[in-house]
Order: sequence, then structure tokens, then C-alpha cells
Amino acid sequence: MTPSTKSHIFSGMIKKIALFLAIPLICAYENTAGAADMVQIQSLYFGQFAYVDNSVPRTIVIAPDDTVTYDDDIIEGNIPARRGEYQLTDFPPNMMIHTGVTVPTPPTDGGVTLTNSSGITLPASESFTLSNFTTNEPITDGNGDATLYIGATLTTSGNGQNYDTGSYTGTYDITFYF
Amino acid sequence: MTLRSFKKLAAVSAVALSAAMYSHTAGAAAVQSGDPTTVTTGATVENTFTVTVVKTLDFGTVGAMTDPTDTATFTVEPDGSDTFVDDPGNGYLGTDPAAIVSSEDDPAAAANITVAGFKNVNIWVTYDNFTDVASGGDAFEIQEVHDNLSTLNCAGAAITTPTNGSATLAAPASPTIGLGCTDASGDMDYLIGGTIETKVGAYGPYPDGAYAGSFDVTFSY
Repeated sequence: MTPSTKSHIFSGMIKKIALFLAIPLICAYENTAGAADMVQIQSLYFGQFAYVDNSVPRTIVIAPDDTVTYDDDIIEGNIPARRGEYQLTDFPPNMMIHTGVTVPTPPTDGGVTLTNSSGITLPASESFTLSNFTTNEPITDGNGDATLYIGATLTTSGNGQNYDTGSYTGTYDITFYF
Repeated sequence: MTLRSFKKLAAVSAVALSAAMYSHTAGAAAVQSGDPTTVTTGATVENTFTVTVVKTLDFGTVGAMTDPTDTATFTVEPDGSDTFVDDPGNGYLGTDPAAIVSSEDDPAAAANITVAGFKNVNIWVTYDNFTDVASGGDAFEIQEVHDNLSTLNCAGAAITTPTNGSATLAAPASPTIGLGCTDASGDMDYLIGGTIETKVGAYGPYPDGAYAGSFDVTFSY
């Protein structure tokens, strides 16, 4: 092999290696922003119940620690109420997620708002309102992971109208700031 | 040959690394600061419970006499263990001739109603709208209803021997109400006995036949 041939082969090898090394670096840069994920473990659910009287508003209150308080005129049924539970991953690490932060000026550390409740409804029947959302205000760990627990208050209309037997559903929005 | 092998290994490694960095957990919602994620919530209303009449209240086969001034009564207890005649009578032209006797071949039996609903809850039981136990123009009056509510160990008061009105006596000011409860399985086993009474009338036996009557029992939370 001549000296000139040998040097040509060597320069070709350097160029190809550099190409493969560049790809992973580019990928890492684009994945830093928007990597946070939220997985629903269980939805917020007010359980199965009967009501005795709807002449005034009656409530079911679920706390983030999963305790449930029933109005005296609401009878707890055989399916219990439960808090909402969401697994957060890849959030900024070591950050407290405060509840009910003020927007449009969110905090410089973490925050969450729970808004735009649709109420809990069944077609052609009375609706329940949803209010007083609360959370456990978790602190993400060194990996940016945490568990978010959500509680809220369900309230009957209090207008004397009946609620039909059935499954009532609704939605609300969870918005994080970080 | 050595150079070609090296190139292929590097290509496979770069692709795998890229894929891992772009993937999210299956079922996860990607979260952006300031962007809302809509989630669901719900509740279930269950206003009904199941009432099953296993057996109706049956006073069996009786023999009965009326007289112009006196009455006789016959009672069956809720557990069916005791039936008794309160006033057996003392014969034709006696001072107290009205009578009821019960047949051992067709004894009386209490009613049995099962209520299935929520577990360990109080159930209000209301009696109302009593009729006579009649056949044509001849009738007995439902004088009392006896039940087993006091044996259910429910929190709160339970009536033991309620007195009700009938079609011929003055109706009570309000329906008779007692308090029962479901057990840990959500069930209440409700037993109803009662007392029938002969009516005042011309001395003589009640005609043979099937006599029927009714009353309403309402269960509520």
C-alpha cells in the first residue's frame, strides 16, 4: 500500500464516525422541552349514592388524602368515592406544584390550575356542580416525578328536582405551569 | 472486511438511541406548560332498591262467629312461632259469644318481604291504606300489624306493635312508620304478622269462603 492510498482511507473513516455521533446529540437537544408526561391512575369519582332530599344543596367532599364527607341527606352506596390520582414524570426536578396559582402570571416554580368544569351530568336529568378543587401539592423528586392527588366538592342543585338513577359524567381541565 | 463491520454496528446504535429519546409511556398525556389537559370525572346515582314479596300474610283457615256487641281477635306473630286467639268466645247466648278458632291443618303464617339495597343503612317502613279482609259483605278488620323491626338491631327507634286504622275505624292521623335497616350485605329480611278482628253484627258464623284484603307497605331511605 502506498502512503497516499493509506492516508485517503484514514480520512474517510473520520468523516463517517462524526456523522453517527452528531445524530444522538441533536436528538437530546430537541427532547428537553415538552418531555413532561401525565398518566391517569384513577379518575376523580364521587361513588354510588342515593339522595334523600334535594330541597337545598347537598354535598359530597373528597379530599386529596382520599377522605370523603357526605351530607346527612346523601346515602353512601356500595361503590365508594375516590380521589383522582395522576402520575407525573419528567417534570422539572425538586419543584413544588402549587394549587390554584394566578394566571396569566404563573409562578416561576411549579403550579397547577383545575378549571373549566362541565358539571357532572346525565342527559334529561338534574346536574351536579363541581367546585373547590384541591390537590396534595406534590414536590417532584430528583427525576422530576411525583404523584398528584385531586379532590373536589360535588353539589346537588338544591331546587327540589329529582336526580334520575344512572351514571353521571363530566370533565375538567388540569393545567400545569413550570 | 474489518472496516465494513464497524460501519454497520454504528448505524444500528444511532437509530436505537434516537427512538428511546422520542418515546413516551403508553397511555401518557404529554404535558406542556400552560396547556390544559382535559380529564373525566363522574358519579352514580342509585335511587332504587329491590323489594321481593316472598310470602304474603296469611291467616290460614279459621272459624269465626259474630255477635251484636262483642268482637274476637286472632293474631299471628312475625316469626310465625305464635298464633293465638284473644277472645275465644263463651258460646251461644253467652255474654261474649264472638269467637275465632284457628285450624291446625291450615295454620296462619307471617308475610316475608326482602329488601336489597345499600349496605348498613336505615330503611323507613310505612304502613298505609288498609282494607278489610272481606268476602262479599262479610269482613274482618285488620286491627294491628306486627313486624320484626325491633329485632334487626338498627340504630334508632323501631316500633314493635303498631296500631293501624282500618276502613271501618277512624284512620290514624298519620301513617304508621317504623325503622329498619339493611345488613352488611345490603339486605333486610322483613317479617309481618298481624291481628284480625271480627265485626259487630248479628249473631252467627262467618260464611265459608276465601277472604282477602290488603295494605300498603312502603320502604324508603
